[in-house]
Amino acid sequence: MISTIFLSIIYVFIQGILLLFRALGEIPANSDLLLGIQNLSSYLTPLQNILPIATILLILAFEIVFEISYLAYKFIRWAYKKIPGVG
Amino acid sequence: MKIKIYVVFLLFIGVFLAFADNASASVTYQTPSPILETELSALYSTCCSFEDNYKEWFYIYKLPNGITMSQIQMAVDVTTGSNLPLVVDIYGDDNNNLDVCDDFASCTAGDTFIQNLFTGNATQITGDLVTANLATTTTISGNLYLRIGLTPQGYTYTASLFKQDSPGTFTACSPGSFGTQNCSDTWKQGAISMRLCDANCPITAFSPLPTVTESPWARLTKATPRTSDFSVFDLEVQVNTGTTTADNIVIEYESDFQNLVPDEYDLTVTGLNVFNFTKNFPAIQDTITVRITMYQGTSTIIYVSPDYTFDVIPKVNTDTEVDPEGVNCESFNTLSKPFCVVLVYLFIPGQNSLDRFGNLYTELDTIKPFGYFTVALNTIQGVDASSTPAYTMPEIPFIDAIFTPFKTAMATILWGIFLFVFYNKRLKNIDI
Repeated sequence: MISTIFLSIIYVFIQGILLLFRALGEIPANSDLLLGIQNLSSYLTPLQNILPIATILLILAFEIVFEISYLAYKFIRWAYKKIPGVG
Repeated sequence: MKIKIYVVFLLFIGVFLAFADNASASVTYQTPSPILETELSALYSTCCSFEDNYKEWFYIYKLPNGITMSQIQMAVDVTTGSNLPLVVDIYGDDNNNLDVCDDFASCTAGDTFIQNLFTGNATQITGDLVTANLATTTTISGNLYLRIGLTPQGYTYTASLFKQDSPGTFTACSPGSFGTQNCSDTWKQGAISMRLCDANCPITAFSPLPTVTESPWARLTKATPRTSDFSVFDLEVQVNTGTTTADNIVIEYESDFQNLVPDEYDLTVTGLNVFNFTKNFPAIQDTITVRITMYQGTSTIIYVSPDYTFDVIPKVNTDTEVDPEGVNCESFNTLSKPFCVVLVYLFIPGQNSLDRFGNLYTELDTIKPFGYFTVALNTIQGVDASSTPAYTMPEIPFIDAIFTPFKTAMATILWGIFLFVFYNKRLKNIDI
């Protein structure tokens, strides 16, 4: 029970952060940007045989997820402190 | 200062990916755009229920309006189900609606028969490809849904179909050896699990069903609002025991709150048989996780079907399952057992609590801007080969022997450097 409650608090916190991203919506099908990324990736695919391209992308994705999540956290904290009587 | 520039740069990329698709752009590609996975997924999500006489239908592809088909290639790989007749047809459903049909006749009503791809004994094609090209210049009015009918039951198979080469024209892809084809995005596994589906169920559930002695875990959640009857779980399993009677089958269950005692059944019959199992749960359940395990012999689980509709979600990271043996307090004596029960209750988190974290990644992988990285990674790693490589590297002897360890080492070093820099330059400067 204790572990479950603790995990639920973490989960709710993460969901709160994700709520902002869900507002952006899913990647649109056949958008120019998506097709461009797919097209670019097709050029990088052969390089994956000799260089860890996927690892570099993963690191970049991790960094962006972190920075955006941190920014979202700061935004939520800023909004929270704007509530009268808080902070 | 440098770290601020770096952070702003990363945020810029993220914001760009999040909003850039709203801008219009005109890009001309040498290769035409592939039909997206999401489109296919949408189609699969409205599959038919399983049919009488075990004829099985599933929608393969959705074509744009008014398309002229020039060529279609299809392959079916039948891996089990010897000595049984097999029919593979392609139909066009031009009524603009995906049928949700309860029997074979209503599935075909109003549809256009295109071509019979195979009729014969499955032993002739077991493990092989059935490939057929069909040529038609017919212009279809409205949407066209291609479907494959397999009859009768008893097969584990994979089926697949064509790719789009340019808008309005579909030509065959070259599959090469089965399973390694370049057009793998358009090669979809026909799932016996369709028998579990009625609507809104993922095609990948229970797919492919194992031809080995152990089945995967799957979580069965009632699709419709749960009612009191969900405290009784009915499971139908079809098993092909071949010529041996030495098998037994174990049905394990997990509910929201506890692990239930598994049921074990001896299979005393041979051949293709359907077994029905019923489990009474002590309370109404939100989710039930079922694992079906075959012991001894070489029996094959052909399909698994509850009597009513479920959503089926493949269980993620089965290795991280809480071992029921590890939290089993039955082995404790009378005095210590209550303490064991209390400690387990307090400190062993529910499986659902753990599984929710595993699903977070799934929730993110289609949301902007993270979804773009998923698309790029899938393409590069060959998971989604909708974009074929723009060029190929020359064949170099021993290239794998050289570059595979090199890549592994490089990846390790990159992660190491990244984590070191990330901790020292970023986390140490972060303001919580």
